[in-house]
Formats: sequence, structure tokens, C-alpha cells
Amino acid sequence: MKIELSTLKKSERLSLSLRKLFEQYSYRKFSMNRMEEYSFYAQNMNFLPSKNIITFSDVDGRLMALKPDITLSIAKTANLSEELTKLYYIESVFRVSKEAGGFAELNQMGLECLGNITDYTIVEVVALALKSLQQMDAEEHALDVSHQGLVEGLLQSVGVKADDIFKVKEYIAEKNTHDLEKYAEKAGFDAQRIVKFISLPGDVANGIKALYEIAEGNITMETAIKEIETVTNAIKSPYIRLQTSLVSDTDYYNGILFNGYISTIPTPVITGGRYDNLLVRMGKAGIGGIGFAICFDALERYMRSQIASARPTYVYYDETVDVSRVFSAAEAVTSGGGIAKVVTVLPDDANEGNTIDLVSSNGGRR
Amino acid sequence: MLNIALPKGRLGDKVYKLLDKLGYSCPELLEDNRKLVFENKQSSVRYFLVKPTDVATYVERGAADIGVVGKDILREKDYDLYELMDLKFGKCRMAIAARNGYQDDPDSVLRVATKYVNTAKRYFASVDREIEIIELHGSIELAPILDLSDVIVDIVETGSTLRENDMSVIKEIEDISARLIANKSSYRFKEAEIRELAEKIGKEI
Repeated sequence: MKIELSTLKKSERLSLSLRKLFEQYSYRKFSMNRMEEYSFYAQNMNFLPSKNIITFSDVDGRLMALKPDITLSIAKTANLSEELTKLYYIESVFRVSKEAGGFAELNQMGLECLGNITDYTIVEVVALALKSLQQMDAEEHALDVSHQGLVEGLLQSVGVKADDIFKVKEYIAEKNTHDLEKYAEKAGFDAQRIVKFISLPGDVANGIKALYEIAEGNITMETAIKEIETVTNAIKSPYIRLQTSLVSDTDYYNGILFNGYISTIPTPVITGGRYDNLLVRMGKAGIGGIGFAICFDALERYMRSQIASARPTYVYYDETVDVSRVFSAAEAVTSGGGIAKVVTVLPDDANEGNTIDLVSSNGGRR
Repeated sequence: MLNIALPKGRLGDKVYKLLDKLGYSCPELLEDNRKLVFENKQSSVRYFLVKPTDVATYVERGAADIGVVGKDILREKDYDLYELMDLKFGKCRMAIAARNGYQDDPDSVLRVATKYVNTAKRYFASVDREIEIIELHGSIELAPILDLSDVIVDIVETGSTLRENDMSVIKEIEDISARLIANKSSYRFKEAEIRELAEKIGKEI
């Protein structure tokens, strides 16, 4: 079978080239059912980005849900007999989409690595996220990197109380220093170090130096900075940026975090990170997990009209023309690699050059 | 090229004057015409004049890289963007107001007229008060006068509209002012330009 690449949408070509990339690093494709029992999500709400889930009753009365997330199901069901289980998937998830103004079926491709996660594993997954971005052929791309331990250590060392953490994280994610300062005054903590943290530039080398200063010896922060350093030293790409505003608002991630952007799309196209917490929750303590998802819907929305719009050849016929003549005329066009559009009414743009007129040649009306 | 969304009207004019002073000029914008897009290749800026409530949408979806918008609008919807700076102008307060002499009955469902539906809901939920929302789009002060609502939730600048209608503020919810916002993806790719602009503004205000 010969596949004409020009007939594929850019997102379809991307999906194929990413499959090749992931297979090269010995990830195996994994397929799954689109449904899950609702009780599974009810127990794990803190790991979901939104509490809105499509539910329905199965024939036996069980309350079922259409999957809003794939990683949760992989963490639950993956057979973890090997030292490292490396998977990728192309699946639909059902979530509330701001763009659609309601529930939407979102196309996702993702990669997961479960088991004994070493520094090398982290480097490999982050590098694959970066390579995936590169394959999108955008004018510019950037992979933001941060670590859940940075914010956690910082807030702990500044003495932010548990009640204030959610709000402070929100300000960090918005890069909002002005409202943070006002809030800190009321809540009674010193915001200066957090303000510095928010204002760090994206440049990795300078950013890491500044982070060590902000950490003031806090061990959680220093461990996190070292992990980022390990990754950036190994990959050495100018496209990796340090991004302190990258904060996870779910309980999902506990280690390195990363988001990928390309210049034509206003939202991240890749989101990922380390999620050991999730595995502990699934009764798999001691096993690590890291992965990322690529949002194909965002890509498709902004990568429109990439199909090469070859012009069709019109095959014009009416009831006076024998069907077998129409069929062989169409066959002649397609076997020559062209596009046949068989019509009984001539379109406005039809002319001698692009039309096989079976009616006139049949002596019929024109 | 930096794409900047400005709100049509007084706030937008004020922001443009500030940006003009800082070197982000586009004289065409001051001409009396009906254009919506103004570009100046020399200072490498492109301005869009849009409805104030739409600025955040243009920025969130990347049609504009940055914009200026009131905090009242940012609080009303859950936008995913960066809020880089408090511009400290366009100052006013989000407040609850009622007719003078209004007595609250905590045993009743409070009827609230507002165009800030989510802000009102969030505030009354935080004080555990059951309310009925009456969504209006203008002349909110009319609602208590005609007994359409008990109170209103709205932005109050000087309070003169309230005074003229025999009303007053009974509770301030929060301070409002203009904010500089940025699209998250644009910030990646135009970080230096956006930071430079924010720093210049920071020095000026």
C-alpha cells in the first residue's frame, strides 16, 4: 500500500511521525476502553483538572463515566512487572472545553513511563517532549520547565499557612506580584522572596543561579533545583526555559513539571511531569511515574488548511450517458493520480481544461 | 511587533497616552476615524481598540499579546493569562449598594441586581447568604428604586450616581483598577519586549 502524505492533515502526519519517534525510544502503543466506572473518579477527584465528568448508567445499573483523563487509568491498570513500563497512546478524553462552551471530545496523544524512574528516565522524557515540539514545525517553540518542589519548598520556608497556599499558588501562576503583596500583608507573611521567584527571567543558567539564592538553603527547593539542573545540563537546548509560574493546581504532580508552547497557539500544546503521588493513591507506592500529553485539538484548531488543495477534474454526465462510460472516465482520472468529481450540473469554474464532458461528446445538451 | 488590545473609551485613551509617552506611539490612533486596527512599524506596535469586556478574551486567545483591562472584568471570568502589573489608574471599588434607609432582613433571600453575576455569587457564597440574581446590563441603580431588587453589586467610582438616586454603599467587596495582562504563549516568545514595556510602565506610575 502506498500512502500519499499530501492527503494527510498536518496533525495526522505529526501523529505518525511522533509514533515513530516514541517507538525509537522503545515505547509501546497502548489502547484502552473509553469508559471507566464513575466511582474511580469520585475517589480520585483531586487528581482531575475539572470535576465535570460525563456519566451514564450501564445496563447493569453501574454508574459509568467517559474518560476525562488517560494517565489515571494507566496508573491503575498498567502491568508493572518490568523495571520500566514505557507506553504511549492516542485516545479521546471527554472534558469541559472552554472553547466549545461545554463538554467536548478532545484528541490526545501521550507518553507515560512507569517504574524505577532514574535521572536518565527524566531526561529522556523531557527530551522527547522537546523533540515532539520540534516536529510540529512551528516558527518558534519553547519548553517551560519547573518543579513542584520549588513552590512547595518556597512557601514552606516563607511560612505561608496551609489556608493561604491555594491563593498564593494562583498568584504565582498569574505572575501577579501586586495582588500577592497586598494578600501577604493581610495574611502576615513576607512576600519578597516569592516576588523575586515570580519575576525570574526564563533563561536557564541565570535562572538557576538566582533560584539557589532565593532558596536560602531550603532542602526541598535545592533538591528541585538540582533535578532541573541535571535535565538542562544533559539536554543543553536553548529552547528549554525555566518558568516559575508553572504550578500544578491538582495533586497530580510531585516532581519535575513541563509545558510546551509553539508560537501560533495561545495555550500549551504539551503538558507533563512527574506523578508519583498518583501511583501512591493507586496502591503502587514505591513506583514512579512521568509522562506528558499532547493536545491535538489545540493543534488542529490552529493548523488549518494544510491539505494540499489539488483541483478536481469534473466528469460531466446526464441520463443520456451510459453509466459504464461515466465510470471508466472517472477511473481514468483517478488512476492517473488525479481527483475525479462526477457531476450532473456543471460547476461555475468548469472549463475545457478541467472537464471531461460526456454529454456533448454524446451529442446531448450542453 | 507587539499586539496590544486597548479598551475603547476613557481607560483606553489614558493607557494610550502613557504608552505614547514611553515610545510606543501610533499617532493614527488619535485621529477621528472608525478604524479598529492601528499599526506603527517604526515603534513596532499594533493596537486594537475593542470593547472593554472583550480585551481579556483577545489576549487569552492570542489575538493580542498584551492588553489593559479592569480587575472587575478579570474577576468575573476565569481567564488563563498573566496579570503582570497593577497600573493604579481607573481606580474604583466593587461594592454592594442599596437605597438609603434599607434594612437587611437576614431571614430572607436577598435579591441582587448586577452585571457582575459571578462576582456577586462568589461574594455572597463566601458569607453564606442565599441570593437571587437579577442580571442587568446597564442602569443597575434603577433596580432597587423599582423594587426589582433589594441591593445592587456594581463598581462605584465617585458615588455620585448613587447619591443622585438616593442610594449608598453598604459594603465594599474589593478595590478595582486597571491591569496589564499578557497571553501566556506570547510571553514565551516576546518575553524581552513585554518585560521591557512593563518595566517602563513601572517606572512611570
